Amino acid sequence: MLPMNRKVIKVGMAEIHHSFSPDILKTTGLGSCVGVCIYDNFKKIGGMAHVMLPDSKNSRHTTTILGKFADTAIEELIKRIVNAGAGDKNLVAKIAGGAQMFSFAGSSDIMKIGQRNIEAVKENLDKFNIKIVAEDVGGNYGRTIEFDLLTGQLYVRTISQGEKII
Amino acid sequence: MNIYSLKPMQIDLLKELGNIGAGNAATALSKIISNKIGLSVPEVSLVSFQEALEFVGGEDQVVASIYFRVEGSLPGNILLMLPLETIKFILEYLLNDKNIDYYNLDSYQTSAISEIGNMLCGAYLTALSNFTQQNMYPSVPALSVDMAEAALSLPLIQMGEMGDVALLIKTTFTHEGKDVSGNFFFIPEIQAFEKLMSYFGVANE
Repeated sequence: MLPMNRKVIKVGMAEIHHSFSPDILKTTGLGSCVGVCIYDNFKKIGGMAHVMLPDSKNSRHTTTILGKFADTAIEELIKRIVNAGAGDKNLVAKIAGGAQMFSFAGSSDIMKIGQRNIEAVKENLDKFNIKIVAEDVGGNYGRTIEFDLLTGQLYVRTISQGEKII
Repeated sequence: MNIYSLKPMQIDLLKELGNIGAGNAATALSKIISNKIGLSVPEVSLVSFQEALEFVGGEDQVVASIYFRVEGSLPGNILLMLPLETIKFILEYLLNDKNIDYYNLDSYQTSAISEIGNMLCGAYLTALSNFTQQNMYPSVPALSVDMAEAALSLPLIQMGEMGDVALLIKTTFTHEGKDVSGNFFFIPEIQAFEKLMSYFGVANE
């Protein structure tokens, strides 16, 4: 689907990466994690974070991995792309993921972590006045996403639900 | 306690646990399908989250994952990952079912797979529990047929609440010629790891 010969930057779990058009940012196997893409469509600068958990302030340990939590990841991602030249008034977001991969009767809170991640990502984007222009979240299936910094399109691939572009 | 590096003796002990657990589970599976099941040497890895996903094989690999939350004095997670050929074998063998839509399994198929998972997980934990003299209680099984990486995200997120690394003990079982294989992942919490190490006298301090 995506043009060949383009640089693809892989974003691992709890990682944050940013780049410029025409690069592609990619994260594979998003389950309950949320892939957050923020970009400036005029300057064609964007970044992606692979968020695992909602809130660093409720964490039972201290970490230096900013990409792990929605609050620290979004703040850091914005900082990086603005430093790289993006205009902070131009920024918009696309998000995907936050599935509930497993369920059983009386599912515990941790099973519903996907939903909590989605809510936390939305709250934190709102805090920085960043509008979500597209989303593909929830459900009970995994997603692999590719964010095209040339067009601002987000390709979402699933095993059972096909592919879509948002 | 710092678990960012494991001592050789600790690795050996964790491998042994993987061996004992999966050995018992393989025996159980052998009895169910009346065929001998082989086991690999367990792999023990203490990895960052970035590295952890690579542990389940290639990108977008599709597997049936059966997940169990483990409570008791050695809390953690068990994830049993079975390739689709193994699911096919199990359903043909147990239900004589040749019509399988892997992404929309019916309730009989889901119960059959979950029950196999239950027996294998039970066998794994019984062996571990006897060896360590600790109580371990698995949850009911939860099944997902999807990307292996996406399934692994749940136990990794749980580890993420407590630290920046995950300890994975992986044992592979195979039966050549019968298309039966799978991976057992035991992912103990840090607390369980520390308890195990001190019980066997190989703690870090």
